[in-house]
Amino acid sequence: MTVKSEDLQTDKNKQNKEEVRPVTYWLRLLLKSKTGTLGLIIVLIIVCVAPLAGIIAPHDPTQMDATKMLTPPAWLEGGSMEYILGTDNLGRDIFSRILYGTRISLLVGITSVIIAGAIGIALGLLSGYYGGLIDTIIMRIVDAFLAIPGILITLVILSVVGPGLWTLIIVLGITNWVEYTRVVRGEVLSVKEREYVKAAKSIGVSDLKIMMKHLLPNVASSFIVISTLSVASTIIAEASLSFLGMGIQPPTVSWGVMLNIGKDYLAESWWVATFPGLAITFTTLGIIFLGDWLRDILDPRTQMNGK
Amino acid sequence: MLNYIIKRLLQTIPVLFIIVFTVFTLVYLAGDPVALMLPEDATPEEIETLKSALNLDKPFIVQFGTYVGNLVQGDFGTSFHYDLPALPLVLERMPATIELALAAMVVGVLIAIPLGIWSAAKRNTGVDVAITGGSVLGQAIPNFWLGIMLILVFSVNIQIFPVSGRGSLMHLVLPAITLGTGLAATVARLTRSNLIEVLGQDFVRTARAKGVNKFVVLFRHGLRNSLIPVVTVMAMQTSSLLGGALITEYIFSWPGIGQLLVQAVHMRDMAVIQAATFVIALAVILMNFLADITYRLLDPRIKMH
Amino acid sequence: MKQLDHMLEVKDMKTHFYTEKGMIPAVDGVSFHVDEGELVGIVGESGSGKSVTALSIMNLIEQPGKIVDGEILYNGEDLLQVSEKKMESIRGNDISMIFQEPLTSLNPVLTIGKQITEAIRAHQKVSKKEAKKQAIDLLHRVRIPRAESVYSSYPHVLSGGMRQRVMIAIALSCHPKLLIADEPTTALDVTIQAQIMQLLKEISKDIGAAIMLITHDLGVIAEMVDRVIVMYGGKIVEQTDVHTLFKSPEHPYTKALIESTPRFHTLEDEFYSIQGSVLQTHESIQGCKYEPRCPYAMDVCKKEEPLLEDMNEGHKVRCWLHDQ
Repeated sequence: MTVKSEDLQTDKNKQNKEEVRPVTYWLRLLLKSKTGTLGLIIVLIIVCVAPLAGIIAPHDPTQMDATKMLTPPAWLEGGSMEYILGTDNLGRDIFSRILYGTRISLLVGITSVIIAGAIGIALGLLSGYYGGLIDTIIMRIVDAFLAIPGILITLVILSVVGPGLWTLIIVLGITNWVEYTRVVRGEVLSVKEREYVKAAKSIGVSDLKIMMKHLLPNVASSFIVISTLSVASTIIAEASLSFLGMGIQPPTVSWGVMLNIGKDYLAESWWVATFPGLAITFTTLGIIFLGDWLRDILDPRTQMNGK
Repeated sequence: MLNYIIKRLLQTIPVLFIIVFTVFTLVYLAGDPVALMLPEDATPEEIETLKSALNLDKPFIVQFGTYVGNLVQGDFGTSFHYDLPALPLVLERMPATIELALAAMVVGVLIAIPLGIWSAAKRNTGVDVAITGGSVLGQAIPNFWLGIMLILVFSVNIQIFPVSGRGSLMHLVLPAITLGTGLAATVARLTRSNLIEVLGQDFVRTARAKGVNKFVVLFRHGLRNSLIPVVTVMAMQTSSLLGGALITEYIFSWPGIGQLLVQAVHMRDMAVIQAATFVIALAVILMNFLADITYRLLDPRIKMH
Repeated sequence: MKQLDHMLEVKDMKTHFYTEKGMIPAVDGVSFHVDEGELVGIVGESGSGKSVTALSIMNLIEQPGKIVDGEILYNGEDLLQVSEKKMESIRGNDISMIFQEPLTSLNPVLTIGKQITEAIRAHQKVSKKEAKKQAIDLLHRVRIPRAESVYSSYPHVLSGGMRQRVMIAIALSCHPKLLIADEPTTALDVTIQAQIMQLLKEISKDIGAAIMLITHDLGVIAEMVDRVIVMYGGKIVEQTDVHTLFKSPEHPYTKALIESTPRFHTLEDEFYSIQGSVLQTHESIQGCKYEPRCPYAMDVCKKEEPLLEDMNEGHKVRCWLHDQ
């Protein structure tokens, strides 16, 4: 029976190590959280719709029809099942345009976040690991970025280089790295002082190797959480800029562009502005739920939030 | 304390310099503003005269030096659209933006903090679920769409509030809600989570063991400790609040810096963009600085150094 | 008025925690008493339920824990039946408590003075000025130097020992009848421990308070208390006066505890440590909870849990070895 209690202990140790966590373990954790599950479902829907938009969508999103301008949604008087969510000022099907809009949102959201993450992590590692002058300079740049609202920086840059899909992606990427840098730098500073990193250094392991091997794994969970939540804020940023006419340009289909059109037809055709906004909210809500759940399970420090 | 303040103020100088330099470089790369300033049929001589009058024929470093020199004297250049000095144009719009930002903060603080407290005190009840759910929704909704929907419902359908413009208190309501919702959502969530964390700490148990009333414990011991980080976060939100103001002002035609800036961006009115960016950055830096000081005053553990 | 046997009498108290992994019976049917002015020690490893017992008496068990059964009679009145308001008037006034972690047990953003006067003014109708006077007196009594300046300082400027003195001052501010001290010196330096214990003993004697001392340290038990309760796995396994405990411990667990305390074993012996560790209590065991670690385990121990039996003159033991 003494053996039994030892068994219990080793079981417990096993659970503490990450590599033995099977998929079912994560799935169980996920299903325990209602909002996490909801978030994952929403995100899966969006991710599936984007490549399949061409198949699901009943209409070509850019096809205009002067005879069908501002048709109301199907359930209203004058609406038809052909245009479930109605049409816009040029007679284009809003439902199809929303489906196609997922592509731009995901493309911009994910690509920009990857760019931002790469820049942010690199600068954070440099800043935290080397300290000194490099750190001071990088941190002052971080302060400068923090002092200007993100949308303002992007607007200013876009006013200089001109709007467009890829410029937008790059601009959003190079303006959203600050959070990564701060988190990575903080983590590096704390990890740097730990014994095993000192030990690695004392036996002559190169700086780059130390960073890759010992520091990056420690920031992985923060990275996943920040990235997930950044996708949501980047999608909103893209929509905002496109709404202001400085982001995605027609005829490319984007939710922000649709809202830009919709705001001019509020009085007579509320649906033009309403549905794209709902689509954005639905998407960001899903991503936030998923991100919050990831934070809960990946970072024990934030468990107190119950968030 | 004084030393700390001076140190902090000195730190802002390089930050402002980086901002001025970056924006100036961008504008320089944007190329010739002269073409926009003169009529299309201007002669090459006229263009050259204007260029040298504006120092545009000089090397980058010289141009930047001149710019900084003027800037220190409060001269941010001239808006070609309004044909007026840029800084006064921006400053003139400031009261409107401050009014809007303050109104949004009122929404954020006076509504969100009590909701956060309520939510924490009634943890895991229906009230808590509703408030938490509402605040996640508040974070997920893009504020400009919220603004459009508010206009749709409250200005177009039930005509309670005016669609746009500034003037009466009625004009302020919709823009303030539009801008304040995101902040309120963040503040409510943060207040709740901090309060829950603090209420689980040992000193709260000590207070309860002394026989102090539950609600006194909540307010005297819980709230003060949990509001310290809220103050910091509120100030750090100044940046995104002003970013939100940009788009909110655009939607409601609110005559603030944001509206001016969006116009300037569309017209590539660089002097105005530069001046407005500088003023906004300065405001954000100032708010963060004040928050830092407040934080240090509220939390006796932190020493000024 | 009905006759009162004991000042505090805990009868068959059960405090359970409802976690995701199932129910944990942290305290599982504990009965004991504390008389006026008496010094009682509760000893056991971490996880034995001794701290939960203390918090249960104060009625400070938080979710997901709950006192599910039993009575806690204070001067004949069941504390589990009184209103929250009444309980608030008892906490800190009749029964007060000192906690293990002096570093986190004081509010970092309130001054020491504020935290002492808060306790005073919660129970006594005195002016702020009078409360301040009392608080400074208390600080002197717990031998804090420069009491006036400490009064207006924040906790973070004080050392752990000083903070625990402040905690004692708070706990004794309203002259309680019972002071529950939950591992009051565990977090402190060895040199400070003895001073704090001495102080605790002296002051409570002065004001006539009984002490319920919770500790894992038998050395402290030997020096401080009159009567000892040994807990294991949420239950009392042995209960007797302090001399009998060290002279003739009966429960194998008590014996092992004494053996493993350096001060009580002779030098030539090998250092003794108890095999295994406290079982996760949600692993429900049919028999004796100590059986998996017990060197004397018999067949009956696996099948059935022994009862807490009175051997002689209040020496109670929960073990099959003493049933034959």
